[in-house]
Amino acid sequence: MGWEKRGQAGPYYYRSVRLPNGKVRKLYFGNGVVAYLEIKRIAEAKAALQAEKQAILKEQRRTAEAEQLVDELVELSSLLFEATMLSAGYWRGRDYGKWRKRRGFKE
Amino acid sequence: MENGGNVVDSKNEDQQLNQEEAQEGNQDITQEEGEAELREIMAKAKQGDASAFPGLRFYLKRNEHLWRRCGDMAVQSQEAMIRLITGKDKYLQECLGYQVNSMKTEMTNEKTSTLEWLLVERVISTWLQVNYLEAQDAQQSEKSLRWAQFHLKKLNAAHQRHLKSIATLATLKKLMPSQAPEPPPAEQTITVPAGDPDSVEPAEQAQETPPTPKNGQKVPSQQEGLNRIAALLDANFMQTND
Repeated sequence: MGWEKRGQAGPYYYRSVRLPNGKVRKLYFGNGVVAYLEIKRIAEAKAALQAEKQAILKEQRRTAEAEQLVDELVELSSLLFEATMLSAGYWRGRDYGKWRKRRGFKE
Repeated sequence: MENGGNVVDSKNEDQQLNQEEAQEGNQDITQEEGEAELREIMAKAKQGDASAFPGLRFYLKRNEHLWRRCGDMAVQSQEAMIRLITGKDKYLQECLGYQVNSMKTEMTNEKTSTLEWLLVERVISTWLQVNYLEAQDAQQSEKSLRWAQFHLKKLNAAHQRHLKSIATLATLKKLMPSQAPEPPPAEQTITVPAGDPDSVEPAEQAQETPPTPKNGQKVPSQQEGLNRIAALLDANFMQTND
């Protein structure tokens, strides 16, 4: 992708694209206004993608602390819940179904 | 025999002391080690090992730091989520804090167990998270597909977590209900039509015709068969005549 020379002529602007059938084809934009417009369009698209990524990263960093606390809370409380249920004589299968009272359980 | 008994007693005491010392030593272990130890005991209990149940109960009872840590995390997570939602708006922060407290009051009572209290805290934390993501979704201007996918994934995960928290709390309430305090007795209010002597008649009739005892039934005494409404009406009638 970029400026390429063809013999003595050029340089001309080409861009490689992958077609739906998997083949790669080079698109010719010449060396005029169309080529520069295409370059500008691609640069803007790249900047937009970068901005999106930055925004997502920023959001992840902003919420990381709170989300981690909630995750830890959920994990620890689930552990304590399970332990309490087991100690009270309840059990449940591996499919995480209903809790059932263990038969013949003595306190 | 007495000496032998004393020896056995002293051995038991030593064992108890050793157990207590071991448990006190547990307070120095890290959170991860404590959780790993608990998981180990739980694995035995899950396999139906009867000897694991008393140990599990004992462990849960003695290792208060696990419960305390969970409670601390709940408060911290709620504070963090409120800060996220409200930003620098102190008024909104106060309002949300008030709402969270009122939700806690609604969902708990004096006899709520520690675990139930923790699960209530968890429900509130996940509720705040879902609310934050929904509010953010509503406030965001049009964004890209990538952003929408990212946000939707987070919202779905938070929603699932919230539903699971509610289901866990409901399971606990169903299987191990905490004894709710009895509601205060409702005041017995009897509405009496004022100053209508005709209304006395049915009561008088009821006094005059006591129920006929059937086979083997106890005949009500004069005190037992006293019609309280009629007595009240009588008193009212006497007062109006005075």
